Amino acid sequence: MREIETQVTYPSGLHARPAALFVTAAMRFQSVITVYHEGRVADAKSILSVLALGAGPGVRVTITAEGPDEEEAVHELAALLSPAPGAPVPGNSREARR
Amino acid sequence: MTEGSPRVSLKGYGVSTGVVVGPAHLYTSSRQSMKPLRWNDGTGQQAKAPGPEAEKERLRRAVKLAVQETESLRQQSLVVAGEEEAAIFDAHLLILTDPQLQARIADRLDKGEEAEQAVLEVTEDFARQLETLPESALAQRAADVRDGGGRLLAALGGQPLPAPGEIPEGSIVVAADLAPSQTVRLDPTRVAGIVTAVGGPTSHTAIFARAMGLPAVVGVGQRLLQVGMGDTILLNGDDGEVILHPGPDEIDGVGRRAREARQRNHKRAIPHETRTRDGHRVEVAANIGHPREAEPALKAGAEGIGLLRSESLYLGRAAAPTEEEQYQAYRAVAEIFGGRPVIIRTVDLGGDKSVPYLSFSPEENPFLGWRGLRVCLESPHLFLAHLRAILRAGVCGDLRIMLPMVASPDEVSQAREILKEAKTSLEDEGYPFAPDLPVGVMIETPAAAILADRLAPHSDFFSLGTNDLTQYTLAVDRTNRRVAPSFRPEHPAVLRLIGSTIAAAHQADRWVGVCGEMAGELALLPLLVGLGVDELSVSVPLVERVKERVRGLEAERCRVLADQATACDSAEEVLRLVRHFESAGRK
Repeated sequence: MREIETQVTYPSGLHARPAALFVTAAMRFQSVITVYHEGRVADAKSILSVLALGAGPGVRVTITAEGPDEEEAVHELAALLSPAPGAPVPGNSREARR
Repeated sequence: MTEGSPRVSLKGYGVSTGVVVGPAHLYTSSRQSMKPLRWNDGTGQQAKAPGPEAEKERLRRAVKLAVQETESLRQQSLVVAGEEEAAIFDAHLLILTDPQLQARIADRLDKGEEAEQAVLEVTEDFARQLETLPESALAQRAADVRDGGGRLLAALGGQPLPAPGEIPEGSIVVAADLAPSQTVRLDPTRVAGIVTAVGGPTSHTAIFARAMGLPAVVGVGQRLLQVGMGDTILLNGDDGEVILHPGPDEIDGVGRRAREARQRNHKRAIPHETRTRDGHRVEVAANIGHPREAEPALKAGAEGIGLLRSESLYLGRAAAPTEEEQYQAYRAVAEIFGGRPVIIRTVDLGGDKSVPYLSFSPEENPFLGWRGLRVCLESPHLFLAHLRAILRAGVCGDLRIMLPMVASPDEVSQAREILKEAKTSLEDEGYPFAPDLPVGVMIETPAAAILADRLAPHSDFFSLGTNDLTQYTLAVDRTNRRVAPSFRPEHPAVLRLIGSTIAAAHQADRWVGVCGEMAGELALLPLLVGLGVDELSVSVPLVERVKERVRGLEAERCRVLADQATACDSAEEVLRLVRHFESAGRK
């Protein structure tokens, strides 16, 4: 099993659009992927469960993955939650353009 | 209750500009529309219990239908509001197929529950759970879950989307809140404005309202909901004021302001013709996705509409639009543009745009499949109503018809046959119509470009759909990330097709426009002008920039550039020439 902790730097947290991107990305992996935040647990492939984490902007979350592609899974998903500074934020380009 | 009701002034966020007055039309919220359809109907009758397996099968079919509808809503909002807003429906698609949601519903079905009740209760559970979250933006997602749940329930009842209900023309839609699927399906030709009790400046209602050009105020508070159906309401999308039962002076004021605005528009309306520095005429028109955009297009200086995508009227609904509805929509655009040309592309369904009322089946290669004119020729009923609406609206302005996805002259003749039929039926029924609307062909298949000389006798004009022409000529799907960089309209193969199409058209005394995205790529404009295009049609925000660019060009120099470009080996080489052209021009 692989585990990684990261900060959510999407300006609006794991909101509908970013959450959709996150879940879509998670579905590409075979591993079982779980996200933890403040005692709540979410199945990364379920948008309802990811939304119910209530992960607002700036909070820290832990992602674990177990399966054949666990290594790539945790890294790719963590990178999605906290894009490099200055990089375009997927699903938020309108805000970014302002 | 309008007479004598006290005037009430409320304040919200003005999120889409404009002042309107009209009768209130109370809109059912998504929560209310989530009543189970078979369960709990008050008769006390025990519903038939068909067993868990049958219920699961019913649910599977409902999920499939709801997914199709959501895809179609996504497509419609793409046309109306753009990619980013359409993305909200991606979240809806994930909700409909969510593994946790499906598992919990399946558990209940195993216990013998009826699908409607299971869907209602499970989605409501999830929605409530989201509402308890402190993060308000996230709590708003409860509305998305209810929206998805409502669609599943309707699908279980065999009912497609819950019908939005007939809205009297000029109404102001009043709602506690509007789900994205409700907003995108509002008919902007009937709705004059939107006001909601909840919501903020970044709500979906706000974004869609702006995209559709409808004045809107959101976050007015619950007092809004005391308004009765049909009560007069005034909304000011500029300062966020909403007045229930406004006084006669206030109502007159709104009418006067609207009239003045129309007169102002008319005065500055005649846009200056666009010519190159050496006097070569190139008309600059606008591409619009919805009749609502006609007014903004005119204000932006468009000399006409080079492409009206009629799909917006067809997508995201359970049945095709009626002839009457279409007539009103096309007529509105024709009137706004007065005597200037408005080109209506006949409905281009298929490819990535399917609708539930035509029998689209999954295809290996939808872009090489049943789409565009092919669909219309095989759906004569739909096509006939479409053409009749355009012919009737043609009386009110300079409308023209453009046929998409043509590969051979024969298809144009078939379309003309149906057009003839439309005219005969209108004549028999005594409707006024324009008998001689020009019929043009959208050149987007290599076949059409190569056969341009054979198509010309059947067509009154051509317009180059460079997006598809590029994709088909270079065999590059630009949504495929691996090969997308090779999607280059400036590729010499594409330029040669454009050049030969224009030459054949001019030979036959037909004009040629470009309505693909290439027309808005300022760096490539010298190529198009040099190849001899007569018209450029671009999205509204680009109109002014394209006009400016054309005015700075010299047609003669452009012709030399185009000659060199068509003799190149690659898109890179063409771009080098274009860059050199730019820097030489600045000296």
